[in-house]
Amino acid sequence: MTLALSGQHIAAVDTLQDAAARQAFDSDPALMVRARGISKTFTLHTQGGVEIPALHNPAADATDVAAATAAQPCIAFTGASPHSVVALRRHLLGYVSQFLHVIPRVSTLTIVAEPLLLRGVEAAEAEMRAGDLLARLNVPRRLWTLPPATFSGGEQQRVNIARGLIADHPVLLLDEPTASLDAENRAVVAELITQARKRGAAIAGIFHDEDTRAQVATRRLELQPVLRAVA
Amino acid sequence: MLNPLLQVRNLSKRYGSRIGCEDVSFDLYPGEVLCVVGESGSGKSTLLSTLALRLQADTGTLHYTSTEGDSIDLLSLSEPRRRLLMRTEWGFVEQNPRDGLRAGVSAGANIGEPLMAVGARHYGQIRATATQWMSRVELDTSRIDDLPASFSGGMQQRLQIARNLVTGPRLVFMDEPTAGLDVSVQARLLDLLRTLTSQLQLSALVVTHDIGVARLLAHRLMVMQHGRVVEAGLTDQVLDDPQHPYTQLLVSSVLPV
Repeated sequence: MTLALSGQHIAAVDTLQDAAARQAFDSDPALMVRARGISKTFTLHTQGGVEIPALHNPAADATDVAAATAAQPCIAFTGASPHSVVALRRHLLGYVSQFLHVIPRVSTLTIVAEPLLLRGVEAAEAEMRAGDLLARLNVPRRLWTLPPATFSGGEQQRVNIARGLIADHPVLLLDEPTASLDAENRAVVAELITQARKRGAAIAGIFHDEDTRAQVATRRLELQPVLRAVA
Repeated sequence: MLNPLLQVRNLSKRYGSRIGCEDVSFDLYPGEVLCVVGESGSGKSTLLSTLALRLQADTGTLHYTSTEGDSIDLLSLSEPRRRLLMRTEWGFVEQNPRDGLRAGVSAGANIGEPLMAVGARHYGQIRATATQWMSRVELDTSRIDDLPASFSGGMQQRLQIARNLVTGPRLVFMDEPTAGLDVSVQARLLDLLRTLTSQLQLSALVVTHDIGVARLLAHRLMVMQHGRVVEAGLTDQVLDDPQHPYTQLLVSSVLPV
């Protein structure tokens, strides 16, 4: 699985116009982004189709897509209809955000199992796998039947990670997944990410913490903040 | 890819010289939940009523893909066929449950009535289905013979949803389904609606003024102001990166908990 971010001219992420940076995004098994500034989450959002690049260069895209299609089927995410973006996300993208947005009063186990249910896995099996993953992430069993609204920040983040990783999506987008975790849980998460990489997932992640980064990433892309005249 | 269930093009509805909704176009796909948000008076409910053929559209086209796969022109549909469609393939959940329920008959009869309207005649089976749906919307099944008036507002709303979904519709219109409910009932109803839409592969068009409801329920979002759609897109696209000034205002006006 290849995740390509190419041919896009994004105002806020100038480095992506840079040929070398674009190269780095192409055909990369795992990649991590680090920069000070505003554009990291934006970059991930763009890839997940949350935000649409302000400027889109159809000509560049068309050639890229044509070239990629010759090798393997390729879908241009930016031009896709909302309906196909929803389907693509369900089947391709596992997304771990910095915050957990979920329906109130739904149990943790159900929340984690949901991506599997949406992909057609039987309820019993989905809940079993959700339980396994929560146990691995050290979320105590007594919390599984409770909704995560009252959990601590770290617990919520681990529920979020479990939800993002459970369905073995071919592409994972991780927005600081280890930000609010202690060392022990960070190690578990790093292990899960490495495991995903070994099964062949393409991963784009933002990490602030050096150790995790060293553990999971095979390549590194630094984003520079766009310099603007401050008047 | 599947054909859109509902195709709307340049739909307009005016009340005399006042604009109800103007130049609305979108596609709704099977299994998709589309939320329409906007302040009161922005034309959301007018749009919903026009789409549900309760109001006569002034201009535009409206096409629906039937179970057989052919495209029906809804605006030139004859009255008997419209009523058949309403009974068999569509549902309409009213903002006020009292408008969508029959006050004079029991809760069970409220769920059973739409079944009888499409030909069910076996009393035992109708009652069994009604009981099953009451438990599905988390109502106490021992109250099947009680009148709707003896239920609380939130329970009436769930009863109305059961009444609308019992015939297995393909498309449901909902006008503020969670308005006026307390937050815990609202949360339960949201979970219920989401589960039911994904289990039954139901398409839903939901009008709401509550951005939080829209974020949790909708795949896609349309933002309306002064009768026009000012922004549309995937829910997180619109809410995390609003482009139109009015959407930005709407998103930034949400009260944090």
